[in-house]
Amino acid sequence: VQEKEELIEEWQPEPLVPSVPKDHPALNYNIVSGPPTHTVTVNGKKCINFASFNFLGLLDNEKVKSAAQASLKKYGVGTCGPRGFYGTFDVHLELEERLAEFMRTEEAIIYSYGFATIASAIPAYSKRGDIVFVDEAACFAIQKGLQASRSSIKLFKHNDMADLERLLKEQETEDQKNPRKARVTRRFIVVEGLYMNTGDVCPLPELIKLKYKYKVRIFLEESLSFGVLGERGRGITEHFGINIDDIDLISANMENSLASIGGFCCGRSFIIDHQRLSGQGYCFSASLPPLLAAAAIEALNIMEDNPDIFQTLRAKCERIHKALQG
Amino acid sequence: MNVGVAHSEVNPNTRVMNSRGMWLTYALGVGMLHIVLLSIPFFSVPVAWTLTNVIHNLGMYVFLHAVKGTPFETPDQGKARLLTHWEQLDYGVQFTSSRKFFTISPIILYFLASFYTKYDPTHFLLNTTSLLTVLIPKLPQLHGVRLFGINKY
Repeated sequence: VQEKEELIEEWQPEPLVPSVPKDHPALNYNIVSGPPTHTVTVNGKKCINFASFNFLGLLDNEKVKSAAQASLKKYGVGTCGPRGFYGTFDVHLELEERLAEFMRTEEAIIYSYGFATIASAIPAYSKRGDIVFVDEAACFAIQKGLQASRSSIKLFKHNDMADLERLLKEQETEDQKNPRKARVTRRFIVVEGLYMNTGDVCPLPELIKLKYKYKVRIFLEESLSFGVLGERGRGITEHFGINIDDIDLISANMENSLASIGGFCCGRSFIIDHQRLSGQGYCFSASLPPLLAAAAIEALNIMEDNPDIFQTLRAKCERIHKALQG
Repeated sequence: MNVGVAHSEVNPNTRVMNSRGMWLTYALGVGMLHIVLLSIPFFSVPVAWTLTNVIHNLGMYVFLHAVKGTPFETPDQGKARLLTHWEQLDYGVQFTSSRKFFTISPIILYFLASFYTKYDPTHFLLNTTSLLTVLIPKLPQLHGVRLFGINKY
């Protein structure tokens, strides 16, 4: 007991916040003044902005900004409702039509938050007991969508079609052992066009071959490749020259090349219509603010009227890549 | 839940048998079936009763113990996809009032059928096997059990 008292007397608590030197980086912020566009002014110095996904530079485009401001004057800021309860505006329907036309699919559906697009699309189709083959380097939004779907996830090595084929073959032997279970199991492959985590492009032609060989459906996430790959920016299907009907669902973010907020999914009407009631991020979130929808429509107009910007973008990318390789 | 009521029930199948008027409708339905069978002049009274019992138990087996899942999408990612309606009732809680009602009603029908068929051996055999097909799946020990893998997926 005596020793315990002594120990308690001796004990000196450590400070909650230890003393830090004055030049600790957390205490000296770098201050950005002005909008982040092609260049960003940090601490008064003008720097080239490499830290944004504004690939086509449409974020500070005057036409896009004026379209957004006109929409702001007409509609105000928010829609004050989900799509099913007085939150559907004509700009939403127009944007959906324009996106479906641009991507040459039957229908498109708009989400008001890019992350929620693929995270709501996957659990709308894949449920408990279904099987999803995902690339290891799938982005966080896909991971959350898979977690919400409660399906069995099978990861294959990044861009390794041999590994994916091995997994598909294993699944095929399992299916042959239990055909009745196989008949009620849905199988999906989820891949990204341009991976956010590694910057690689997925080998889509081989995936299509595997899709028809093993009867799996493909969900393609084109957030980074929309407006980047392809002759006219239609994404990785145009890049590889693949018929858009071979992909069951294309999901993309409008927050990168399209310089707006939100996301869209496009595909056959039969598939997209299902998300109007089952897409949790669509039914239970307020719809996209009309000024952002108008901005996206204007950005689409620019993309359609100037198809040479994609060539410029690719040329610049290759030049920087070569220069950085030294 | 009752008709036309907004609800946050994840799987309405679990509560449908507790809805207002469900038990009365069911009893009246069985009564209507029996009256229709009695009106057919070819069937004697014992045959009509046995037929009522057998058809009722057949219908009960198909709708409560054979058909799986839900006819609508549920927001729980398909938890009840492989469960029959009986297994879904009250989210699997046993001995609720609905379960007791639907266990007792085929038994009552069986007693009535046995009485009106004057305990004839052929009728007895038919009625008893029919009752067993509808009573055994209701046992709590057989919750989620699929014999010989029939109807598993």
